[in-house]
Amino acid sequence: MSPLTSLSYSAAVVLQAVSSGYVYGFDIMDVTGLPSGTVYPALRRMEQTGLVASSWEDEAAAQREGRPARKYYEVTDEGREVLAEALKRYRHMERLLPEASRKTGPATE
Amino acid sequence: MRQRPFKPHLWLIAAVSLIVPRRFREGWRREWEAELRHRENLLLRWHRLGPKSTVELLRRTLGSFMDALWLQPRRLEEEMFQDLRYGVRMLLKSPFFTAVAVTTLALGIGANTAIFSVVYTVLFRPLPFESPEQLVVIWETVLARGNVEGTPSPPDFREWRARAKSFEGMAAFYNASYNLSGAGEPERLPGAIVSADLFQMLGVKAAVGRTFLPSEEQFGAHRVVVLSHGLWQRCFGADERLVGQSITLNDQPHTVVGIAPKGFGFEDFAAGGDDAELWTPMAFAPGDRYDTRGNHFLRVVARLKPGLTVAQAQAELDVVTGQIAQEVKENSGIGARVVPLREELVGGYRTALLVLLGAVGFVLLIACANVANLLLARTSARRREFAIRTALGASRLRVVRQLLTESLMLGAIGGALGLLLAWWGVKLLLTLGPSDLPRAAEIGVDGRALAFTLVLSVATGVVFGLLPALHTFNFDLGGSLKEGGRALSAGRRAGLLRRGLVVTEVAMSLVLLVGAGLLAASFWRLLKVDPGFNPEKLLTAQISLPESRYPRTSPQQAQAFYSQLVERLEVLPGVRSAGGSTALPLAAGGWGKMLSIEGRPPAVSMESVPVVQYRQVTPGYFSTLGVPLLKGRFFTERDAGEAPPVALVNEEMARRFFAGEDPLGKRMWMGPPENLLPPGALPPGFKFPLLTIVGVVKDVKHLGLSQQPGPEVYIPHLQGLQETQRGMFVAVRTDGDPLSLAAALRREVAAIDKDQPVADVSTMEQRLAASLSPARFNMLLLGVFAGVALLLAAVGLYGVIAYAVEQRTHEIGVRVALGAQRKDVLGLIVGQGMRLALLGVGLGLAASFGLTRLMSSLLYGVEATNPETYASVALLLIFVALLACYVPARRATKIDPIHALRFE
Repeated sequence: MSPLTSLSYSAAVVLQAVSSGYVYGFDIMDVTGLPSGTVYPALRRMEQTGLVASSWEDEAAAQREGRPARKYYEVTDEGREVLAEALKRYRHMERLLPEASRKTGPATE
Repeated sequence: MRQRPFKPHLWLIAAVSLIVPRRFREGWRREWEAELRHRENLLLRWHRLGPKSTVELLRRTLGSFMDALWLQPRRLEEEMFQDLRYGVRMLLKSPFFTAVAVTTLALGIGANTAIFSVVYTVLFRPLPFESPEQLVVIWETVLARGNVEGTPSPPDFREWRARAKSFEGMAAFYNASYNLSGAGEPERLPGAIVSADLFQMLGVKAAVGRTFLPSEEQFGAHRVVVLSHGLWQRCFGADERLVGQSITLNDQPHTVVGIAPKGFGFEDFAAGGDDAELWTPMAFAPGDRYDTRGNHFLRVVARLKPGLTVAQAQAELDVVTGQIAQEVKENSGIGARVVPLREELVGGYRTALLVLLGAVGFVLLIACANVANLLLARTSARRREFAIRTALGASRLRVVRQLLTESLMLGAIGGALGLLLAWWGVKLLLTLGPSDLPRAAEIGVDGRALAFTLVLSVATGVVFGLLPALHTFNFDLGGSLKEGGRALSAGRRAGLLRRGLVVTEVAMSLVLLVGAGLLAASFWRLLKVDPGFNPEKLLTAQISLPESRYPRTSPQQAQAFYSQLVERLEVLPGVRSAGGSTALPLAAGGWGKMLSIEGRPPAVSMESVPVVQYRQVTPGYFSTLGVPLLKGRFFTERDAGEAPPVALVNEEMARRFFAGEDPLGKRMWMGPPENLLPPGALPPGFKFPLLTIVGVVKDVKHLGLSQQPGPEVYIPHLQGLQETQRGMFVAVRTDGDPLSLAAALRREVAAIDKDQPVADVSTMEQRLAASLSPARFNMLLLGVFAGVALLLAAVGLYGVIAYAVEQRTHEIGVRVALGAQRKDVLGLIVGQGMRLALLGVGLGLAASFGLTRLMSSLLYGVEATNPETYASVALLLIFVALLACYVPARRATKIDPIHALRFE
């Protein structure tokens, strides 16, 4: 079974959000309006199937802000293919999310 | 930041993180905390951090529970994969151990599944009839003949059916054969004549058309037939329009009224004969001599009323038969016996199959004990590994689970291979198995056997995995590490367990060997039995002339047919001689007839008249079969028609009826004293012919090599009785391969009567082999099981001793260093093994003594407690045990003391 067939609508929305630059869990919730109980399992599943990959942001930068380092997600090559396929299916989805500003990107960039 | 006063979301994360699998826990908590803290910081910066936003944060945090739940399956999955990966690595690391364990299990499971498939189908699978548990068979019993089960006469059957109230229905049938002609090559088909309600009583509906109507049991309305599904397809192209049309059976037109459903075969169950291909209703012409109380040939099946037991039905039938006996003089002493149908069908095979099932169960137990032993030894050897894993933080449960996983893997691989073996084994069983095994066509590795295998392999895996696993709980971990894993004693209890297992294995294999030995001795004795004739180079066949062309009223026609056939056969090239008989050894046929001897006090009642076997033979029959003449003369061509009636008797007859006298010249008749017959029972003017005994022939084992022949009378076929004239077996003694003359035999029959089929063409050696096949089957199977068991026990013993040698390397090194000789070491090790072996042999002998009694009905000429068999089997086992101990003991003698001591 290809990942595409198992990609639910909410997972596709989460993937689209990550692809649009909303790379942290809570930011994804904000922009998609999905609850954390949906967003996180979707991220875990997609990470397990290799559609997204996660990394930790720079520790020093986080400490300057007085908080632990956050985990951010990126769309893999396979994830991009699957997303392109999903966008064909859910045509209206592309216009659903605003393009994120570069500022909200991970500190490593 | 932790000093901030009220942060329920962070507490919640800390709490939920406890259920996150340990592998992910740290990262998971950091991710959630970082997000929450980042959000707090933002809210703080925007001066929005109030109670409202705190509640919102808490609401979002609740989703972490879903997140943690979603991670649960990966906990198992990951650890399971770890266990599996690790298990595969461990199994591959010791390929010898793995191969032995898997093979052992595959043999045990495979043999078990194969035997289970056969036993289940034959003994336990419900019969393919409606409510089969209500079906019974009813036999007639005759007090004067020891109440052995016999067949009732048609009038008796009708009385039972009319009077007994315990039955929903009662039906009768008898086997018959039909010549199907008119369409191409004539064919002889096995069939049955049945009472009209048989199908209905069994709950069987026709696939096409209908079964019989009660009115078709009336003579005149009876020329109808139901065909088997197979015959319909084979000969009539499965044409539904056949129903309602007429076909020619035994030269009479019969209307096809229906086709039986596929797979329906009743006679195969009830009579152990061929599968019937067609059925016609039972109807007797008025005055038919078959339809009298003197002719006992019906088989009766009945269906009990729901809720009634066999015992209740039996009690009622006892009353009914008692009443009939009071009303009808001929029936005095005649009773009936009710036997459940299943019991009737498989009765003869029950013991053999249950013995095999028990034997194969033993093999599986031995296999399991062996694998358990192997695993125990390995677990002991791996103590250090487990100690390290536990020290590094693995829970004991985890170690146990690892062991169980390995055991289950062995069980699964063994189970899969075993299933393969079973599939092959069932095929082999059916090839080797006796030809008359009931329900053989239904046997195959089915879903149930598959389930059985799976349960077996899983249970085996758990059982033998758990023993060593439980053992690991007794570890003194620190001790294991300090000892460097080479403990002097790997747990007294484990050692005891392993020795106990080996003793059990040896004992169980001894029981199997004794069983196999007894069967082999029986078979050997059977082979040496003199059949009373020479079975080599003998072609045999059966011919049944139809009533329509060879009427009972003019027996000369049938007599002429056989005389002519024998003459034609004898002049064929490659034929030495030919003969015919109404009954052939090891084939069906034969009639029982009452006997009265001239000059003896006549029998006082009908049931005290002796019954002997009666055969009609052509003059050349005895010399063709090679039956020796002991006294007097054989028949000649002159013993015909008007010549004085003569007879030959067998040794048993001479012994039983003419003890101390010369039977030659004595006269007798085949019937009761005439004063016992009711008036009018015989045609006016009829007198039983007085036969003069002209010779005595050797006993022939007609019923099988293990059956003692009863008294037998032979009559020349040209002087034979009318009703037994038409069906005969022919036997041809050949120079070369008998089967090469089969075509010529058919040709000669066709030359006399082109519509006459020939049936059951086979050599006498084939018949002999078929008659021996149940005994051969039992012997071969039990032999194979015993061989496997012996091998497994030897491997088990070897394993224990080899392990002991390994453990005692240091001790042996010290002994050698102190001056022990090679033979001392050898004696030490072999002695240790032989103590176990001898204990096993002792227990096994005692168990055999008790268990082999169960199979005494399978034995011939050997007592179940035959001392020679016990002794030779015990010696064989001791020899094998010595061998199994010697190999590791020899290794022990090669221990270099310096090397052994440096180990410490």
